[in-house]
Amino acid sequence: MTDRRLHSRSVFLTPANAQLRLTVDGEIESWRGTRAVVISNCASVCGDELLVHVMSETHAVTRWTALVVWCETIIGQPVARYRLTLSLTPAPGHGVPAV
Amino acid sequence: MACLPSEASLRETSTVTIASLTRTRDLRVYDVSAGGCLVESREFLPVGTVGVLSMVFDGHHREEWIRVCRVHADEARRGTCLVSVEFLPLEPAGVNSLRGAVLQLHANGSPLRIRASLGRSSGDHRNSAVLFHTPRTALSAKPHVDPNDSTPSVDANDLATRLLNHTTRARPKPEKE
Repeated sequence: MTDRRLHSRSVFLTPANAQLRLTVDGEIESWRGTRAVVISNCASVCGDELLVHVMSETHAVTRWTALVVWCETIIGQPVARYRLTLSLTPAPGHGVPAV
Repeated sequence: MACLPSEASLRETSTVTIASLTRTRDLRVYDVSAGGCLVESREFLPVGTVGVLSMVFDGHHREEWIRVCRVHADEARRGTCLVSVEFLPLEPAGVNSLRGAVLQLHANGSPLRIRASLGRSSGDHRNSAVLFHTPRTALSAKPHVDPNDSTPSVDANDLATRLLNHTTRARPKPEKE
């Protein structure tokens, strides 16, 4: 059975704080300077902070921090999808990519 | 210097240009084993969700890839939900591995250990868990409170208490005919 646990557990008497980083794919619909529109399967709310990894034409991965400024539901597809408008800032330590 | 996908290339190429979007969410961890842990999330996490869990455990920052395997949530998905996650052993447990730290802890034996035996993650901790107090290992001993969130986390606490106190022996046995 997959739900059987064979390891002994350790219970925190005080729940410990943790962070979960969830990564999903997004399709870049447009990218103008520090504004990008990305189609994603996951909805976001305005003000959400995301980390965007993009592979450039030179196959180098660039990292941007993004702020969700708009989230629009795309209707008419079998799976719910969302169009996210992002305000981008180059992530520190990864250089400033040329636009 | 790296270049971004240009507008022209986005228009001209027929292939879809992919980006990866990473979101960070705060969680609270109730228990942990070498195979996974039980966490509380204010956001519903579907079964199969994959991500990286990071926390301070045993005085060090630890990370582990996880996958959601069970979700205990209100039917209306109001408030917080309890999420059982399993560790994904994508690579050998390294120095910063949460899985490795738990394995090491259990191998060495905690000085605050009360009882250790095998059991289910959703079972009775009195039967199946090692209890230890870890306020120093957590990022903060204070419960996570979002001033903008009016949803009380007491629902998940109650649910956790019920789950942790639930015993299979407490279930009524079917009567023999």
